[in-house]
Amino acid sequence: MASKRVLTGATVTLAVVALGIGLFRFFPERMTKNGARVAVPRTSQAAPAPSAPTPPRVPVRASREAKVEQVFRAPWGGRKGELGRKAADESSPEGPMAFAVDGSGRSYVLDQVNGRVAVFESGKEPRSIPVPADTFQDVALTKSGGLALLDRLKDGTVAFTDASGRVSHEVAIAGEGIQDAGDVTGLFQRDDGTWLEVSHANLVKVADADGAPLDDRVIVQGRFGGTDRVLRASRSGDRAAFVAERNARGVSPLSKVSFDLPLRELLELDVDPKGNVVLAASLLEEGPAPNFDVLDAREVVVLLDPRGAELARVELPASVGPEESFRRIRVGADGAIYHLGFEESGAIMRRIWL
Amino acid sequence: MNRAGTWLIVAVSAAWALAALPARAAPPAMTRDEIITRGKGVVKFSYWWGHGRWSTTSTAHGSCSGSCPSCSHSGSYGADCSGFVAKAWQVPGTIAVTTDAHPYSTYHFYNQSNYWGTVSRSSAKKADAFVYNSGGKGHIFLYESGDPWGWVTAIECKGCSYGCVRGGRSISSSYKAIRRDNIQDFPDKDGDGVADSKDNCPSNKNTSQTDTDKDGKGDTCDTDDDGDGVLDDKDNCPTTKNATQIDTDKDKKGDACDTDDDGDGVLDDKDNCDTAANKSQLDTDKDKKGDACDDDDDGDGVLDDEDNCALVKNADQADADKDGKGDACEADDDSDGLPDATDNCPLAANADQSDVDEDGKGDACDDDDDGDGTPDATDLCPELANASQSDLDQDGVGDACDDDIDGDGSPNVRDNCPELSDPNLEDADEDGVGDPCDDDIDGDGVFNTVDNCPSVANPDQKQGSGDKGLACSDGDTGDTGAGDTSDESGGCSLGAAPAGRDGLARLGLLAGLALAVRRRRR
Repeated sequence: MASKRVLTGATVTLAVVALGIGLFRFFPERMTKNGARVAVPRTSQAAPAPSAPTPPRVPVRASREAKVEQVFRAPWGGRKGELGRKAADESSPEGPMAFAVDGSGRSYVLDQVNGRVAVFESGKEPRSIPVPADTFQDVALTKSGGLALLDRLKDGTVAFTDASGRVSHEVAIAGEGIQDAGDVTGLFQRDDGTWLEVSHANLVKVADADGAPLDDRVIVQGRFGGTDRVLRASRSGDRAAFVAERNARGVSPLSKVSFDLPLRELLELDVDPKGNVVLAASLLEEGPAPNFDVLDAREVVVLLDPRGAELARVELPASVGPEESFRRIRVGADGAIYHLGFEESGAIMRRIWL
Repeated sequence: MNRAGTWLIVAVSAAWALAALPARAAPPAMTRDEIITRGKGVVKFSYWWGHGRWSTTSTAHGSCSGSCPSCSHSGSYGADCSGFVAKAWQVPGTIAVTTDAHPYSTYHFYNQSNYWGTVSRSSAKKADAFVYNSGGKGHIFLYESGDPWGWVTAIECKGCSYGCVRGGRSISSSYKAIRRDNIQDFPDKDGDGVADSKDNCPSNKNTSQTDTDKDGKGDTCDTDDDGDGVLDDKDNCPTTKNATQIDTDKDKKGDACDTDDDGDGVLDDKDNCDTAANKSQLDTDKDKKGDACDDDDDGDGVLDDEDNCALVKNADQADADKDGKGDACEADDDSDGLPDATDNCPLAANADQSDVDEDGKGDACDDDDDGDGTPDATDLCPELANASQSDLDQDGVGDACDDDIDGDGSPNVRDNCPELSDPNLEDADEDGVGDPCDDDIDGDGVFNTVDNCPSVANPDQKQGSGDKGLACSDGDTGDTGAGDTSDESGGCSLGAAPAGRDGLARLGLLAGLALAVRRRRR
């Protein structure tokens, strides 16, 4: 009698489990009249949506005495002094895509979500320069005091504005040296004109010093590192990056920079006024299968002397959240390294002296 | 509840659960390149929240405005990020890109593993996807390739403003990598979707694996695709065997692969001479072999080289004027200077076009020139109609054309009696009519036949002796004895004849002849 009761109980349990499996497999999708399947709104999901794993917070750590100071902290939002981020359903979340720094240390943050460039200057109220689209992804300052804005995905152009943000003209990106505007990975405004980097490899000069498009584009195999040097960086295995230099004597390896976590992606390569090389990277360590959770994530800035010897490095917390950015690290004319990080509450600009 | 009822519930529940399971069979096998190729098709199309549909031919990309999901879309095509990836991946099953479908959201891609599974971010490959979903928001994009910095080239339906784009981007650690089931993944050095072990060009991309000469080496890496012994860079038909390299029209494309061998503008399959240029396609004998390549253009059985009319059927090769040009194709067959069309003897030279009988057939080719019914060959006067074929003197020349009808040696024009032989041209009465044919020899006004002195003019006809007139009876009044020779010497020898039977018969004959001559003259 007792065994019979146990068997019946087990059977009922089994039935309930089977019923549950059926419900779970059946409801996540449904068919429309024409046979197309549509996503069920999240509110109707049977199971609660788990959150993406959040990597542990990493404090700023430096290999030698480094001065890290906060330039500003801007809450997320659309008001003055705030920066916009967008994280909509079924589309790419994004924060401020890039920024530029002028010789006075003013930060021009491309706050494209709010349709503006937010200008932060120490001791002053933030101001903004309106920009005509929310699809710009990089910004540079022109010698005339205006902006060069990179729209590589939507229109495939570089837009030049005056100081008020009014667009004076645009230069098409695709052309000699750039097959697909989407391959552009950086906008560089130099005294001699406007350069675009393609797939972190070549630089292509697309406009002259006045922003006029060039019929015959100049192509340089690397990224400028001063007046007579061209640098290139690339991943080297899982935990290292390779920096090479091209100069009048040819190409020579400069340095192999190792990391204690797997290298996820390089973030910046530049040269400071002293000729030191700045290399920034994003590091990420995953857990084991099947989930491959993020165990650790950091951003690292490494300073190399002109010959490639490492002078210092600083570890910064990885940005929090899924927001996409394009260029969040710049080397200022003052020699400082500017880093824009994303936090839960807003964006933070750090100035780092190594 | 009894045991049977319980088991029934279990069975029904289990069956329902299994039925409710989406077919867990793997999605259709796809290579990574196939996924990327399909995915690239979405670039430039608009962002369309909750949808997934684009076209490989339409340029009507649609447009999106506003802030999704409270955005508005116009047009028939577009996709959001998850609708796009599901379509590029062909999950849960095969579906046309033009068919609107949105089977999964980023929630499904992130939290479930219906037809995909999570992989390490660092092992992500082409055609894998990166997805995040948290707090009711999410995004997914297709990974196409990486760059030296570890950035990725992504294909994504990025958002309302951007639309669907392709470009390099960074990836935050919030994203995880997922891989579709049933991707054909194998060592593939050249990335052409064919495993190296089966690739006939493992180091050269050749998805089609075309191997024209079946030598096991794909055309892409074969220096002699067709295996004809001529290397491709010198071969005028690199994928068609043609060791001879014949190129009729010298267009650098060998005949073996040239659709117009002779370059005359008429494709070979329609060309009645595919190796002889003949734009006109002239085919005189309609034997489907153009004249340009036909040995016997007119099809008369005589080869052109020997045919005196190569373009006109003339098996007999007739050539009247022997000028080497057959009559069938000659305008003046007899070369007499007159076109055949107006020549009354086109096959017989007759520049004068003489046609005696005016029957339209020139004498030169008329068997009966004078049209008298007697063929020229037997006609005593072939050029002068003489149906009677009369030939008085029997000299073989018909009277009609005989200058001396009576054959007496005097031409008719001077013969005072042309139809009666009178070599002496006697004309007793000197009336211009020779005696043999003169009805009134003596010119006395009395016809000989009734003249009692036909040779002596005696208009009075005074009767002499006997039947003779007095004028010729020599005083003898009726004595016509045989011994009377004077009568005979008296120049009336003829006069003596009528006295006898013979004389009368002779006179009768003469009279008849005279009459015949007169009639003829008339």
